[in-house]
Amino acid sequence: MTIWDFIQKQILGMQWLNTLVGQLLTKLNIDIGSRWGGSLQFFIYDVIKITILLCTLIFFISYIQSYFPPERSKKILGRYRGLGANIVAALLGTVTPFCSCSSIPLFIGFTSAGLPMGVTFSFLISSPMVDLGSLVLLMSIFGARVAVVYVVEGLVIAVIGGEIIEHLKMEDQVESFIRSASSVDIEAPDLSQAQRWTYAKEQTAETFKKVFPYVLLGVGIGALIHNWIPEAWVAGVLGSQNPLGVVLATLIGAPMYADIFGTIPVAEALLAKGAQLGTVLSFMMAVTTISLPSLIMLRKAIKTKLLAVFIAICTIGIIIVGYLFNLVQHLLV
Amino acid sequence: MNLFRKKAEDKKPAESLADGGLIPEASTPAFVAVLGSGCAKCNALEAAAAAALQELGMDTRIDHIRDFEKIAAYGVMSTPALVVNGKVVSTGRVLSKDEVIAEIKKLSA
Repeated sequence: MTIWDFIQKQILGMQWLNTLVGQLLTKLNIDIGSRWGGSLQFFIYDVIKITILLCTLIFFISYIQSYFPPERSKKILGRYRGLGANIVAALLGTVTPFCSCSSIPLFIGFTSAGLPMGVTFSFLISSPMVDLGSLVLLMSIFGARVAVVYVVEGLVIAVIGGEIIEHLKMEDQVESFIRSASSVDIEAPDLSQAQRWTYAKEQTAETFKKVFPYVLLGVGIGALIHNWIPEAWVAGVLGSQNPLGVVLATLIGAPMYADIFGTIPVAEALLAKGAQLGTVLSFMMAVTTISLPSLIMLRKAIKTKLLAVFIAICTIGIIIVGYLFNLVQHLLV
Repeated sequence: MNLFRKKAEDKKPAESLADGGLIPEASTPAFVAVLGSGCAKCNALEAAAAAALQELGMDTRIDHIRDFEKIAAYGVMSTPALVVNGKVVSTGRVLSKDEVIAEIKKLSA
C-alpha cells in the first residue's frame, strides 16, 4: 500500500516538485502562504507537472498506437458480428490514434468494408472519450479506481450508443459518396522500431505545441479557483447540494473545446473546493468528446439529423456517467 | 528507366476518374502523391517529399490528393499518407525528408 501511495503521490502527483517550487519561491522572498504566492507556486508546479506528464504519456502511448493503425482495426472488426463487434470497436477506438481530419477516410473505410453503422459509431464515440492518455492521466490525478471506472463507463456509452444508432436505421443519413465507395483493403505499411520511436517523438512534439496553450489556460483558471474562489460557491453549484450539477457541468463543457490536459488543473481545483467527482468528470468528458472542429469534420460524412443524434447520445451518456460517479464517489476517492 | 514505366503505361483519359476504379489517376500521375485534406500535417509531408525529390534530382511534381473518395480508393484511412509510384508507403504520419528518400530508394531497388 505504501509503495502505491508513493507512486501516486510522488511519481504521478510529483509532490516533490511542489515542495521544490515552494522552496525556490521562498528563497526569492515570495510568501507562498499569501494568495499571490500560493497561486504562483501552484501555477509553476502544475504547468511543469502537466508538461512532464504530457510528454511522457504521449510518447509511450504513440508508440503503442503505432501498432494499431485504423486500417488494421478495419480488418480486425470484419471478423466480428453483432454486439461483439460494437464492443471490439469501442476497445479499438481507445487504442487507435485518431485525428479528426481522418474522420471521413475512416468512415469510408469502415462503411465500404461492410461494417454496420453502429460499429463505426462505437469506434467514433470511444475514440475521443476514452483513450490511453486519459486513462493514465486520470490515474495520476484521481487514482486507479476512478480511472478504471471512467474507462469502463466510457466504453459502455460507446457500445450502447453504437447499438442505439444501429437500431435507428439511419443509414440514409450517411452521405452518399461514402456509401458508394468500394472497399479497398491495404496492409498498412509495417513500421520498423526506429520508425515507431520517430513517430512517437513527432507526436509528442506536435501534441505539446498544440496543447501547451490550453495547459497554461487551464492551470491559470485552476490557480484562480484554487486561491481566489470561495469554497462555498463551488460546493454550492457543483457539490452535493446541487442535484443538477452534472447537467450544468456537461452543458457548459460540451460547446467548449480543450485538450484533456488543459481540463485537468481545472478539474483538480474544483474537486479540492468541494465539487463532486462525477460532476467534474462529466465536465472533462464533455469538453473532450464534443468539439466543434471534430463535429465540423463529421458533418461532412453524416447528415445533420444523425449528427444531432450523435451529439445527443454523447451528452446524455456523459450525464448518466456523471450521476453514477457521484453516487459511488465515497467508494472511489 | 523502370521508375517511369508505370506512368506511361497508366496514361488514361480523364473520364476514367469517375468509374470507381481501384486507383484513380490524373492524365499523367506524379511519381509521388500525398493524400490528405489539407491540414498542417499533410502540408508538412508534402514539403518533406518535395525536399526529398529535390535532393534526389528527380521530377519534383507531387500530386496532393484532397478528395476523400480518391483517398479512400487507396484504402487509406488515416491521413496524411504517402504514395510512391502508386504504392501506399505510409499512412497517418509525417515523414522526414530522409525517410521519404529512404522510401523512394526502397522502391527503386
